[in-house]
Amino acid sequence: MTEPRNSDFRFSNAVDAAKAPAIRCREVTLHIKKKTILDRVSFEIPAGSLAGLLGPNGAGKSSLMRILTGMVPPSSGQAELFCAPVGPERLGVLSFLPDRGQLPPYLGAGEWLRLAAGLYPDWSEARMEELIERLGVDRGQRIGAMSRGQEARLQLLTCLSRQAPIIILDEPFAGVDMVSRESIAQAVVGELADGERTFLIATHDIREMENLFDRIVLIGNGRMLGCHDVEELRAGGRSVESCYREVFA
Amino acid sequence: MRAAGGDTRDSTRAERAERTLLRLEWHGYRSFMPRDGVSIAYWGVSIVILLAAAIIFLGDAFSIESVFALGALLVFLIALYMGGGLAMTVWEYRFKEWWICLPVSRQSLVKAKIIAACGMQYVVAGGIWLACVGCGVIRWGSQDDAGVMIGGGSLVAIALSYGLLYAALVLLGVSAGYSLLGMYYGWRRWLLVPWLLIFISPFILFGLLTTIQPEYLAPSRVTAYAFIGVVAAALTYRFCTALVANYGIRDLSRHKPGSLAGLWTRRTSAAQTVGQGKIGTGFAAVYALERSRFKYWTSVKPARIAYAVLLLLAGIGGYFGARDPLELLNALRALLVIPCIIPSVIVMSMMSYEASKRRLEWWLGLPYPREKLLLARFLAIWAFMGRGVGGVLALMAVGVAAGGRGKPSYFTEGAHIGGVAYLLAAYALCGLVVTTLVFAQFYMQRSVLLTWIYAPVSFAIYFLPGLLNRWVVTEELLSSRVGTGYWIGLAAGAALLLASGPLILKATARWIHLSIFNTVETRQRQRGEQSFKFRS
Repeated sequence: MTEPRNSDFRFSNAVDAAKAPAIRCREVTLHIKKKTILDRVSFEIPAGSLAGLLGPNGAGKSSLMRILTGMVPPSSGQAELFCAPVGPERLGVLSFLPDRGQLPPYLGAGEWLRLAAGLYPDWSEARMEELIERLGVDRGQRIGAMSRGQEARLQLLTCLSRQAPIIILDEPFAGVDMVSRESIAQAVVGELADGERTFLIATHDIREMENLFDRIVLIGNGRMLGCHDVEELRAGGRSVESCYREVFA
Repeated sequence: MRAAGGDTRDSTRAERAERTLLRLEWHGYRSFMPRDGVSIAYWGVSIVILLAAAIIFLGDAFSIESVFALGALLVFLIALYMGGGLAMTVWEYRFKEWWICLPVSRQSLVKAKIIAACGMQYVVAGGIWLACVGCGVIRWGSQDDAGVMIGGGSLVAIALSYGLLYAALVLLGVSAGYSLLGMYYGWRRWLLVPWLLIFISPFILFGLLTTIQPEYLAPSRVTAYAFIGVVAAALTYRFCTALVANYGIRDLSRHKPGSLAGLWTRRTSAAQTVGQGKIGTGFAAVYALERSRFKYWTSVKPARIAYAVLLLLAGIGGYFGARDPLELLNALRALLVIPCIIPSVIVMSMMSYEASKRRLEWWLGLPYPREKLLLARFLAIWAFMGRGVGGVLALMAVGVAAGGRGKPSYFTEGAHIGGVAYLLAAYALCGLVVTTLVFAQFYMQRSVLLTWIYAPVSFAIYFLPGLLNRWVVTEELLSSRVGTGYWIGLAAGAALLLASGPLILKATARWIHLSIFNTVETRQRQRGEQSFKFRS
């Protein structure tokens, strides 16, 4: 793994703590103005696993991800990445795809990727080339003129071309066509092969990913409604979908 | 007989639909209206703050007519920017497709938008008018001390004549601003040139307020202006409804949300916005990202046309201005107010737009300290502004050199060169201060109380360049040698900015994430909640 150039954003400690959970939340609470968005949420995601953060719209998934990425500090409780508190200075450890986020529309895909190579200290050119091929991204196309699916694939490519050990994807399938959904899911599967990366994927649409999840965290109305190991669920004769339905139906 | 009955029913139905449409548009403004105890208190406090600011900042240098004239500029400015803002944001309005498909004529759609916006603006104009009347009454009550003679009768005449002017300016401003919606495509992009001149005119006029002859602001003249304003407003309203109904809505209906796709081609050239060379890493890459935005916008045709016109005007102005250099410098003094303000407008609109488009999350997710992200943005905006203003000043200088050939040149004297250098340095510093203070605004989001305390300041900072024009870089200063005291003052201001700038940047960086929640969608939802509470 290449050493990041920006000394304020090192992630060497993260790799040392390989046995520690990649993501840990303890009693995380978030109030915005007078509204409680998250209420004492606690869970752990082991390193190298693919976890689903599941819940209906407005459950608090995006807010929790904003806390994990250090964008928004929690009102109380602790959120940690490899046993160190989250914060803007830990952005080197993770690669984040925001929900319905947009890249600068005036840039061409190729221009954006050239910029991204300079912006992200852990950028891998080889991985980028491989993903361009796999996801079918056209470098000459202007981002503002892309369809939702094309832009979603370019955003995922940006996230996965980094070598950050934690990948956080917030609703990667929102508004995306079936073909793009499949290629996004396949790209994630491809990244899992080395077992070094930890994925946390927020979605309320579980069908594409339910066979891939190792672990699921269920959240509703800002509260923790369950955290399950998928193998144990299956051993008990339940699927991710049936578990989801039991909790939210 | 039956046909006539059918026609009547159809027209009644159409009228009812138009009334409902107007109610729908008005509904968007209801939560801003003084409607209950709390909102009436907000409005009352705002008027009192405005009144206090007028008394403290304007002092006796402004006659009571000038205060009302300043109010007129504010009314026009707010109405114009409100109309312009509506035209700029409707592209990403989520109700847009539903709105376009409503079964009423496009003229009716536009009229309802303008009339509802005017309704809101009449309340704002009323508040400004009340603050001006309050200022007049206080002056009238203390005129022995102030040494200004105002009769009660003349105050009433002033208030009534300006009230009429305000009424005309609201419709004029909203219609002129909203007409932007028809200027996004085709030949109509040429209309952007006069539109931009109107858009920045209030700031230029603000600089001239205290130097204007008093008889031009007297009630009899103002009443005449008001009637001219009514005619101009009616014509602009008709022009706006025709332009937007015939072209703007058509353009809007082919727009793809989230992309402004019509403004750019589908393909990019090899390196249109980031150049051919190596981009660099770290801060250089962050700066390249920020700069790419301006490189793109300055490469689009309407922007290039507008800038070319500006360069041409600067050259012509310099050529003819060479005959009366002092007058040229006075004009420059008023014009430099604009580049002082534009960077702040860019910062505010960029942050708000990027939050609404969820681009801010990508930006804040870059693995760099937020101070560096903010600094790169600040520098890119000012590099863009510096290049733009530098080009205009260079062309003006060429014009002066050409126009002043063979005549004794004012600009070859050392004292005058010092004056010009001081003028440029003072405005550059003022612009940097205004932009820094605008950045501070993001820190104030951390609490409702701070937001309210800072609200009048956030509005007042846009008038700093005007105050500089009025109090520091005066006409007298430019016609004589700039004293050492002025240079020391400027150096002290620069030192203060250098010392406080990093602190403001640090404080802003800590709370900038709150902008993520300050989206158009969130605001609309909150307004919806408030209006629901109001109805319940």
